[in-house]
Amino acid sequence: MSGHLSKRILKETERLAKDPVPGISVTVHDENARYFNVILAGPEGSPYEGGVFRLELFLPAEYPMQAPRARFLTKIYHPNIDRLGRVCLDILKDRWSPALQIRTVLLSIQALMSEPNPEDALNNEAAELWKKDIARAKEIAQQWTLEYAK
Amino acid sequence: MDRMQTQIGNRHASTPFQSQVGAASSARKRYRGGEAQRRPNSQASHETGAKSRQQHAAERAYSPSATSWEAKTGRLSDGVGSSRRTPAVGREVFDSPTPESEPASSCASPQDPVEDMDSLEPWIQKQLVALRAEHGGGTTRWPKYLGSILVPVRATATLEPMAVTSGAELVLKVSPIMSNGTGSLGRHNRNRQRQRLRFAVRVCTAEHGREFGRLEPLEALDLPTCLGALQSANLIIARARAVDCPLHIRFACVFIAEVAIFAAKSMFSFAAPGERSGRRPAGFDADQEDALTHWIAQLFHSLTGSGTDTNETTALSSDTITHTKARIEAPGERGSASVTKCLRTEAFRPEDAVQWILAAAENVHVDAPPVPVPPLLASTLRPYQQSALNWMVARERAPSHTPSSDDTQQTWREQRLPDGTRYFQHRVSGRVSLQPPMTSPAVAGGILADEMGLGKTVEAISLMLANPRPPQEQTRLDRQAALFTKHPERVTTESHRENESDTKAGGRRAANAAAAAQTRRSLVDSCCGGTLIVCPMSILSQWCAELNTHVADDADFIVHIYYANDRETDPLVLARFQVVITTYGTLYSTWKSTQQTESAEARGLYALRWHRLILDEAHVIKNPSSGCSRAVLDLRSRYRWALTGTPLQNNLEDIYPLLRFLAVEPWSDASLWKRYIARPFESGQAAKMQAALSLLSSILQPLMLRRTKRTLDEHTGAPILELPAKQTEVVYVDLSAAERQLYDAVYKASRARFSTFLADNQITFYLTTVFEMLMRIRQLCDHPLLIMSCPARDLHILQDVQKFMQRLTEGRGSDQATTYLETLAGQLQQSLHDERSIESSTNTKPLCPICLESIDDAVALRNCAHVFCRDCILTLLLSNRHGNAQCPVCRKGCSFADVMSTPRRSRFRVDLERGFFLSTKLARLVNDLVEAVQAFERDPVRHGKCVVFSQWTGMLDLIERALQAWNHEHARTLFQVGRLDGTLSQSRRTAVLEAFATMNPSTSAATATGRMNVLLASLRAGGVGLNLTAASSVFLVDPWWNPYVEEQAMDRVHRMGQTRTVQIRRYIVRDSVEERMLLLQDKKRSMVEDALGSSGTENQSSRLADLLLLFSLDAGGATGSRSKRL
Repeated sequence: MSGHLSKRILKETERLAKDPVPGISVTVHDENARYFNVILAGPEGSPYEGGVFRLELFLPAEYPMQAPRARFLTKIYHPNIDRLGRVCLDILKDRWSPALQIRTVLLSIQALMSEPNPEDALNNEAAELWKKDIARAKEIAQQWTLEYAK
Repeated sequence: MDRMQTQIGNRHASTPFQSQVGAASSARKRYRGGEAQRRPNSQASHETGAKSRQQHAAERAYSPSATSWEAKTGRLSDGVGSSRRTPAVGREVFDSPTPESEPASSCASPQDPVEDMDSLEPWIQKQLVALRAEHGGGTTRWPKYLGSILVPVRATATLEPMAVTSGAELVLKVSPIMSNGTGSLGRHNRNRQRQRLRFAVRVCTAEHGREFGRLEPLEALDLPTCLGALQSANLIIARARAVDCPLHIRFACVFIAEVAIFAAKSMFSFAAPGERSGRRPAGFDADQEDALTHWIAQLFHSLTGSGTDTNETTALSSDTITHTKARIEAPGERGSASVTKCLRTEAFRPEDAVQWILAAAENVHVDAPPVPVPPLLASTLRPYQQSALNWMVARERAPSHTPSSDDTQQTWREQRLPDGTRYFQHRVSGRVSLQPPMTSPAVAGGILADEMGLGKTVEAISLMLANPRPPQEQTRLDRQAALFTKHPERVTTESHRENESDTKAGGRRAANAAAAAQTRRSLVDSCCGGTLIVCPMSILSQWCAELNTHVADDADFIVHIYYANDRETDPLVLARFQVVITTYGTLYSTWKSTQQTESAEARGLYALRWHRLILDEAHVIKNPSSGCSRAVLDLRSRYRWALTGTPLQNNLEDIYPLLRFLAVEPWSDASLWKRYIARPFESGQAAKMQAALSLLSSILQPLMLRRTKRTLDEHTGAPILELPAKQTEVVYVDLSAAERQLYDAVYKASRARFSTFLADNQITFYLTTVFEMLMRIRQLCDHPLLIMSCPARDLHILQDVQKFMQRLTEGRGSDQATTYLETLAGQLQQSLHDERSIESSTNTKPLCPICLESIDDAVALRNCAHVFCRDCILTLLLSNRHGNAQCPVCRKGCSFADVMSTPRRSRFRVDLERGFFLSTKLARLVNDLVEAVQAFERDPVRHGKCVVFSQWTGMLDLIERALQAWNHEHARTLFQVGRLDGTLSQSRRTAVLEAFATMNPSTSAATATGRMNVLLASLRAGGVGLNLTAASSVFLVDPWWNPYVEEQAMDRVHRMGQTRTVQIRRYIVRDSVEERMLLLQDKKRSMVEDALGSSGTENQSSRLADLLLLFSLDAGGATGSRSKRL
């Protein structure tokens, strides 16, 4: 059973290599087929535009029955991403479904970068600012992008 | 004091000590809330331990006083003296009455003689009196004083001078805090799963309840969180007073408070030892229990300096190991020498350990007093079966391993509270208990691990008959239960009507009914079921058949099948059956429903205490976190048995769930198991591995009985089981010229592609493709049509094949080979065309959303009609522990009941009626089958029926078609074909097996309708657990990676009960991938597992070597250098 499902990981890896998503690059770790280094381009029209964000993505043993774990390695100023890079995203938690894939997860993260959700914050400070003064918040995010995500 | 009562404690529970249930539910709410925080923690901690530790260190650097205050705490603790009484640390000897003899309740009685209030400080005494008045009305001696800790407090406000002075009482308020990365997340990185919600403890003035400071974490312990977690769970209460306090408290200054900790009684009953993990106090799940236990251990550690043993060498001194070892050393002498040997040879691989453990188990000889053969047993036992019976009865009647106080001491340490109360602390997990830890009432039962085919079932049945449920339990049940079981529905409906009846008579009747229900409940509690057998669904019917055969007809022996809808749920009725058989699946779903309801009917199997519990094919529970594995733990039973032919399959871990099921103390404790067996074994160091191995072997020695077919009889020296001879023959098949051309073309193209992957160093990316290519080549060896059964997404393969065929046939004459290929190419073209038109019209690819493969054995969900592979959706449903599974596609709720099978489309893209032809292998197989079946028809005594195994159900289709064609051509019904594969339902399966097992004496063809003489079985579905001894000819059409799977299949026929010489034919195409698979099998005969073994990356290099061999690329020189690059 597990063999048959771990085949899925190979399959996804293969597809990501053959048919890459624009703005997302995924490389599998040399020694661990469940560990991926991800590079995300900051989405256009967001304060992160022009930035290159590194993430790590790990597929737990129960994958796809359990959600992958993703974490930003590049510092980012975002209400749903905390200082350790952890991402607050429903499909990575209780809304996970085995029909989702690495590809969809990364796309969702990209979408989250475009549209932060300060109501469900992980970084309270950023979320407050986002709610109070969105222009200022975006400015900081842009600064951080320039500083850390180049 | 009144104010303190309301302020102290947490915000959620107004009185810190509620009833057990109330406490639990409030704790649960709290922890639910904490989950959101916890998850990101564990996400972050993977691979980032180092980083967050650094961060943590950096953060600590900002609080310069932390370490110095820590030092001061140490100094102060000497000064304060009696406030930190050291309990009797290290009193390892049980000097007081032995744990077993002391009445368990004595600790709780108000007359507890050991309490010594006077030695406590007056302040503590005052608090104790107040707390006891508050919580127990002054009548109990709870809560108890655990000890005090001196804690630095950082002021968060500036107070009036002299507002708080040394000795002043402080009010502590606990509140959870959001851990958004600013806290010390890295602190407990090693115990990732223990990261929880964090707490702050605010220090307030007693007068106004105004916050003016917070407790600081200690170096070794996040004390605020520890207090917070335990206090929220109502396990402790903390009181504080200022100790070393400046006259004027200013913002950010630090002073010292003494925190006195009082334990509620629930702390000691929490996860009490000896109780099975499933019976934990209501409301705590395993994670919470784990976390709380962790904090208890931490708290005790800082109070007494003797929490759990952290050093591996001191805990569970090597005494236990040697002690346990001594019990086995004599018979195991040979074994332990061979451990050393096998560890010393360089070729030692971890998987050999499994073989070794099994081999060591075989060396054990049974020495149990003989038991008379039960008179109700209809069949006779062979000598080795008799000795198994002796052994099993002996294990049930007088368990050979009674836990002594020695054993208890190894795992539990006796300690004393400051007031002298004795308690016990688990050395590894840190749990505490007031009860003398009863290390389970010795294991009554064990593991019967005889190799398959030796008759474990008969042995188990004879045990049921030899040691039945005591007759008095049976008769009492009959007498008393009759009243209730006759009209169970009346009793229940009446109690339902209770509310409606308002007349006096109605009220009386209702009261009677309620009383009856009460009596009934106590009756259920007191009565005892018979034997409960849990087995996989596939062998449910076999159990019934075996019970029928082996139990004498006149025996008063009623068997109930607890399965599907016609199961009996009334526990009192269930208790009257001698045997109840159920499946793992049913057990699991019952278990799930017991989590939700308390009604005895819903609890079904769980409502009763059983006389004996038997798990058949017990390796099913080998994943300790799976639902089944946990479901069996909660069954209550006097004796527990695990039956399995393969107690260990891939690694030593496999045995742990069995030990846990059998409650083998202390090894059923996961932490102990990890520390002493799993981790040393994974360490890779020879000495540690050897120790772990011999320890495991000594644990198993008294518990496990294993014989194999090769085992020799102790007295006669002859093999215990004399089976008729087994002749294995490899039938080499030469492909026809046309087939050869096709094969070579596809093979060479695949090989070229493989070489490209290899050269580009991309094998890991393309492993699935490689295995698919291999599968196509292998299928070509069977029959060219097989590759046309490939799923739609692989159409390109068909296109490739078609191109080959066109190229091969171009510019040739019309010889036979060319015609053959042309026809095939034509068919392919047609099918490709059809496929494309289907695809373009619907524009849907039937891929399973879970495994992303084309759907295998499609099932749909009732509510939303989304389609998945059966395996995939069942895995999903099984892995969902909360019963709120959702459709992966649309998130509609779904359950096992919603899974519906869908009709299957023909797997072939060619019309079998028109386009069917025989391949060389198939032709050869049909010839041999004709011979074998004719031999059977002539002389059914010397020749049995035929079983044909293939790993492709498509090939089975083709064989079936070929045999029908033969019947048709010869105008006689020689072949009566049965089919056994994964798609059959339980009842169909039973019918097929029964038909096959029936030996119809009539050989005249005219009357022979419905007599089956050929069984076509898929290697996977027919390979396990079945009894096919009606056959004597086995045909393995294609080789499988793992030789053990093939052996399993052969052993279905060559097993106990077989009276004829067994003829096995394996069909191998000469000079093909099949031949090289044979080589591979011989070379390894071990863990090639299936194509992608679950073990992931462990031996990629050896896998590469295998692939090189299969593509007959130079495996000699290339392997070394290439495998490094992989």
